[in-house]
Amino acid sequence: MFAANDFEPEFYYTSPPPDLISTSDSDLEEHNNVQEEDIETGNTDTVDLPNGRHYGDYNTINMDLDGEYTSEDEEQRPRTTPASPGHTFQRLADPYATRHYHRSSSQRSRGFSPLGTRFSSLRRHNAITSSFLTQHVKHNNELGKQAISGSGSKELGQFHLPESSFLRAGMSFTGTQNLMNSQPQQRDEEWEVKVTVHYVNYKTGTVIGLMEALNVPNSSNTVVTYWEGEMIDFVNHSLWTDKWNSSPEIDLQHWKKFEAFRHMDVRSIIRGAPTREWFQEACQKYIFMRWKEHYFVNVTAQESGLTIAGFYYICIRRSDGAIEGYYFDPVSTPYQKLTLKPLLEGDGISFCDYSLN
Amino acid sequence: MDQEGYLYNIALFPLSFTFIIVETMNSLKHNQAVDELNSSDPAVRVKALRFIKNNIIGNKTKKDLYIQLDVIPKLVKFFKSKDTTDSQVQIQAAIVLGSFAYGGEENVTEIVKHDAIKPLLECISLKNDPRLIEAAARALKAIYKCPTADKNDIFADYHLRDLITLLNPDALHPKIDRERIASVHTAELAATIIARCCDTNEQQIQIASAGAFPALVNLLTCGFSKAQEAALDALAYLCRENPEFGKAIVETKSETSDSPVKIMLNLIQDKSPTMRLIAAKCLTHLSRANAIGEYSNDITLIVLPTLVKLLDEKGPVREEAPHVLAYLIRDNEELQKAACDSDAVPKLADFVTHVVDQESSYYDPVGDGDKLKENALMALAAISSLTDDGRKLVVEAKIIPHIVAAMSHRSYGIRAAACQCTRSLSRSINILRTSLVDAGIATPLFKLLSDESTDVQTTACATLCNLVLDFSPMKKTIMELGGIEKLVELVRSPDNTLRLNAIWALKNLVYQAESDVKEAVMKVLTYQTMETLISDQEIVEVQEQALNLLRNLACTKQIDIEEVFQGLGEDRLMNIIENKLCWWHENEEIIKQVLFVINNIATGNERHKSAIMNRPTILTRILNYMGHTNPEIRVIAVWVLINLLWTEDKSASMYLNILNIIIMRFLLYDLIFFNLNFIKAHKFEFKNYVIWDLKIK
Repeated sequence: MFAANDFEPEFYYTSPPPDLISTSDSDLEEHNNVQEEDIETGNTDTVDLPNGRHYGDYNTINMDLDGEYTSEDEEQRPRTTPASPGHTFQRLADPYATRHYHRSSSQRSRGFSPLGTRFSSLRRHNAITSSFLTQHVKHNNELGKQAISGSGSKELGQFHLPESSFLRAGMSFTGTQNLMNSQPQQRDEEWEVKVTVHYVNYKTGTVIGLMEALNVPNSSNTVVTYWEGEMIDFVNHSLWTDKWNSSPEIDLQHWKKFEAFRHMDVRSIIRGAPTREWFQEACQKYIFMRWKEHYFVNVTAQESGLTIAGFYYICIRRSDGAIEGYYFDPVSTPYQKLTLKPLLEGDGISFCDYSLN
Repeated sequence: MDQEGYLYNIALFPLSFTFIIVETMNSLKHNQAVDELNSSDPAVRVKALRFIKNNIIGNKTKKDLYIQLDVIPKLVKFFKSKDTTDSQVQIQAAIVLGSFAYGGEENVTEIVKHDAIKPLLECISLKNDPRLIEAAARALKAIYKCPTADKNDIFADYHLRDLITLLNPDALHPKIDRERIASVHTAELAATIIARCCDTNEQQIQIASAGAFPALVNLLTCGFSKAQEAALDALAYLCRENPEFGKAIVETKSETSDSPVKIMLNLIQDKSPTMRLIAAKCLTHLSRANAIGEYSNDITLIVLPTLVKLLDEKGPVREEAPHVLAYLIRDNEELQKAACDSDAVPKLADFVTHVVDQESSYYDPVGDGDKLKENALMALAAISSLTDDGRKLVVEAKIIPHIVAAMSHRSYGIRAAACQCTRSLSRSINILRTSLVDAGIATPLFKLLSDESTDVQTTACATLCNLVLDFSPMKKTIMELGGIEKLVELVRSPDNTLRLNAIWALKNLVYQAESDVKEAVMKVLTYQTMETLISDQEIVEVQEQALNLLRNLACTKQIDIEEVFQGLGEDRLMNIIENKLCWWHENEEIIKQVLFVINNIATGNERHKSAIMNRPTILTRILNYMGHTNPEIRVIAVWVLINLLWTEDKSASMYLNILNIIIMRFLLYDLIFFNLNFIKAHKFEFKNYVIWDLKIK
């Protein structure tokens, strides 16, 4: 969930979005200059002009990239070329700035807004990205398929996601959700979070639980939400969200933030390069998930001071049960980070259990 | 009773004298007819029997009248006399007995009471007049329709052999068409009798070993639909829950070249709905008996859609179809998904919402509508038992308020079926948290825990298991209604299933519960009772649930663990654990629960950990389980060790102690290093010498 009422829209009007700078990936940081420039440009564009020109820009960039794909083999292409993956994806992340700009306060506070009712600008953006992928399919059908359904069941054959002791019904985790803020005068916003997992089904790749947000900024309530999760088990769910207003690009931007993906070239993922072996190895160490909040349990959406329109990209580390997550909601601050650890109340880890009858 | 009836009539209708006079005259005639049965002249006897027969067929009042006149023993006597010269008397007597039997359960009871079954069975011998055989078989069919009728006699002497011979229409050597039709009818009756005498596995075995399968399979191709239906029905009951016989039927050679399943798959496409239903039922039973083999696709593609289509029929077919459907898809996720994809749910939901069924209410005005509703609820419960898709469809059909209402229905079958529906729905945590709460299911369900029917109680208790979970908003309501007390009462029930469901519910109630809830449960249940349940004499599942309860009690907080230590006492607790580990080592579910109990205790303070450390037998077992074939057991065993080694005590004397014990005895270096890495991952500080100590050893 994301604190909806603690920011005024004006905040985004008056300053360049700080979140993009602070949350950029490690291997993207070298392009910070370009990126900032882009943001500035993007902002100016949107303030002065209607969306058209701005998105035209993206289209051009994407087409350029597509051309490059046809002419050059992924593995051999030097990573330091100007149109490097990092650059591209930072550009694609850019619309966050414009989204905040377009966002009206009524839209922000609508926690339950149906996913279909988004701004036309966002739809356009998605259209561009899907055409981007379609280009790949055209250029290289085989690889294109992998890119889209890729990381899905077919390529991975009889993939079996091993169970984890930490991901089972009855496990509780505590930690924080962070609103990283690079503005010097603004303190990082942060609130405590407790998550309890109440249902885990490895066969269907389903996880269900409750999330409790304590000391939420500008709210006196403890807010409990009900969420349902999908395990990326490559049988029931793949890396691509394909709903909740996400797109393969957005998926990649978020997955990239996890350590397991950190040393992987984004481009290789989109081309289906993460092989079966890679995933199997990664899944020995981590379980990747998406958690989507569905409703407020103890308060109404209005009382909560929060919005649950988005969802979390989640990664749980098998060795110690530590959870890292990034919240995605096109109309919220990007890359809000969730950091959780198993709740320890004794000298060790105990396991309770129930069974449905 | 009839006399009373007349008085009643006079009182109510003083003006209808004519009616009364006619009735009285008739009454005299009836008395006369009964008297004439004693005549020495066979012609008079036959005439009287015909008179009685013509009066009672289709007339319940007349049937009752003659039973009052004590006609049954007189009829039975005709069969006992050795004088078989006049089979006409016996034929007529058998027809009259059959007609009585069609009148309902009380009449059958009366017939059985006067030992009519045995003489009727004697009549079906091949040496008798075919018309007598037919009449007797018809009477037997009606008698065996009643579930309480005694079925032992049919398995005595040569009766089964005779029946099975009759399954072949040629056995009676029919010469003309009329005889041919009669012999097919007799075969149909024989098949129906067989179908109705297949209640137990024992009976199935006897019938099968008398050679029923080939005879019935041949009857499937006789070309007369009633006989084919009867044969399908008999085959269905012969393989019900019986994989061996299912296989035997499938492998039976028929006179035609088609296999029995192939024949059935043809019959299921018959134009008669009854035939389609019975064929679907037979194939369903074969499928449930895992005998369908290569035809399993046809179950999904033909049998299931046929059953769903039959829901559009009328009367008994529509009433029975949901029952068969429920049985077909029970425990089978694939078929449940297929049922979701059909339009079964809206149709069934419609039966639950609008259950006025007038056309099939001839004898029992309320019975059939109730049966339809019950079967529809059972089918909905089955569709939603395993998949969330099914549950969503049931919720979307907006019938939850009707299900709640059905939980207080006068028929216990409907109450149980409604409960079963709720149980299926409550397996979705989302629905449990939303639709079921909105419908206010908790209070009506709780009432059913005290239902007069054990069936209803059992299902209600099973459903309650899901409602008392920590994430269920209804947990609080149920506890306020006195749920703990009621469940503890049921835990003491002599009924195994009820006891199991009650302890299951208590286990779920303390899952993730606060200490005060745990305390409240144990105050009512008592540690003494829990200990008894942990070594339940009847069913091992109760032990498993009780151990899981103990595990949940000793979970999370050290004060909770301490509470268990106080409640049971350290020695008693450790004895329970040791005992289970030593005597139940072949039952993996029990081992898992015991290991979890140990694991949770191992997260306690030093005293709690020491309690385990002081038991070499327990430690040895745990270490042995690290090499168990079941990975789940290995994982828990490792966790026990991790938790035992987990200490904030910086001097780590305890830690060293444990390590020494383990290393000296088992030399499990790899394991220790695994644990060390794990603990390091948790940023626990250890003095260097601990590591060093490990390395040199």
